[in-house]
Amino acid sequence: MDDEISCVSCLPVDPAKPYAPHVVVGFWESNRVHILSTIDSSSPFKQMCSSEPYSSVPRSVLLHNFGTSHDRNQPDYRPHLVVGLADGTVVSQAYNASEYKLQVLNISTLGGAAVHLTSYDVDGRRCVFACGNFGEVYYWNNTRLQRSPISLRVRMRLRTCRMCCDLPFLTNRRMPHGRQHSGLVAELCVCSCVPRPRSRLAGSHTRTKLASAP
Amino acid sequence: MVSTPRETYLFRVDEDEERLWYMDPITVSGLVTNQPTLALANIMQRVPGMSGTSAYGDSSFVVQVTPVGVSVLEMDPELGTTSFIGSLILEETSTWKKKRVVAASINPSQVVIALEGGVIASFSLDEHGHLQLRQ
Repeated sequence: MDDEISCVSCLPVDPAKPYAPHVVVGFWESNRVHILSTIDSSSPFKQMCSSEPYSSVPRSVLLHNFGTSHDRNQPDYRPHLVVGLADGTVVSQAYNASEYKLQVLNISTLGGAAVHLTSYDVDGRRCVFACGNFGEVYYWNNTRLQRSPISLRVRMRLRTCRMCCDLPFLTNRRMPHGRQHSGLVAELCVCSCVPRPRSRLAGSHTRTKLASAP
Repeated sequence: MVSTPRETYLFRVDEDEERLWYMDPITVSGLVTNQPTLALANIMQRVPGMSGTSAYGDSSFVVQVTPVGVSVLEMDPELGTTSFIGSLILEETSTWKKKRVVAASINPSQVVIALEGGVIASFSLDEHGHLQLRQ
């Protein structure tokens, strides 16, 4: 392939199977997604289907069956291509697995951050959680793909270590060397930095000086 | 597992106290922590059958994909430790020497990696936990 790959997914459409006959790949420059076959070893990653160019780069892809049946001849077999784009858009398209064709686009927006997709089950119903600036759950109900916004409650405080490394603090547990720092309490910094002398941290540091620390 | 653009960190979830405990890399043998992690998952093990066909069974193998390669670890759930089984380092291969992994996905039996230049490769684990190139 000539284009650089931006995302890939080999999660099986049928979660009961340990392997996936298809791999879904997104590309940087063309903004397209290809569905490739892994069945035929003589022609590896044979392209079965390609999307139209999207509005932005695909950053997360899933080939997901929202139905309860895993038999493609059954009416409740509902495979969809779901794509999270870099501009915060989520695109979903029904996938005709017999003719290898994508159907009409459904588009929603979750802000301006790149969207990450995760598939999971709730009470036997297969859902997709899309997370960008906001979160949404996609599921099948009343003969159509529904989406439900959810509020994200983040219990874990995430602050950036401006003392030393720009890494985030990853838990709300205070470390022994946690200290007051520019109005914030420095918590668990997972970098291996050596805490600086107290006079430099609690002294007359300005925000500019802290931000430029290595 | 938490990955930043530069490094990887492993935390243990303490459900009783609802806390995360940072695990020192020394106690997690084989885990690559000086690289970001693109994918990490438990994977099934290939079990050869009597008729020549093979099936997949539960295993304690964990696969980690980083920009420099693919590592296989074996977890001991009782002790909470890991041991290094094997790895594929791109720099040590002849065909992918100058490439890095840009994206990866893992399902129960397949590890798919995307390399720079639009290259895709698929691996599975044999019965000993060694990586086998499939496509």
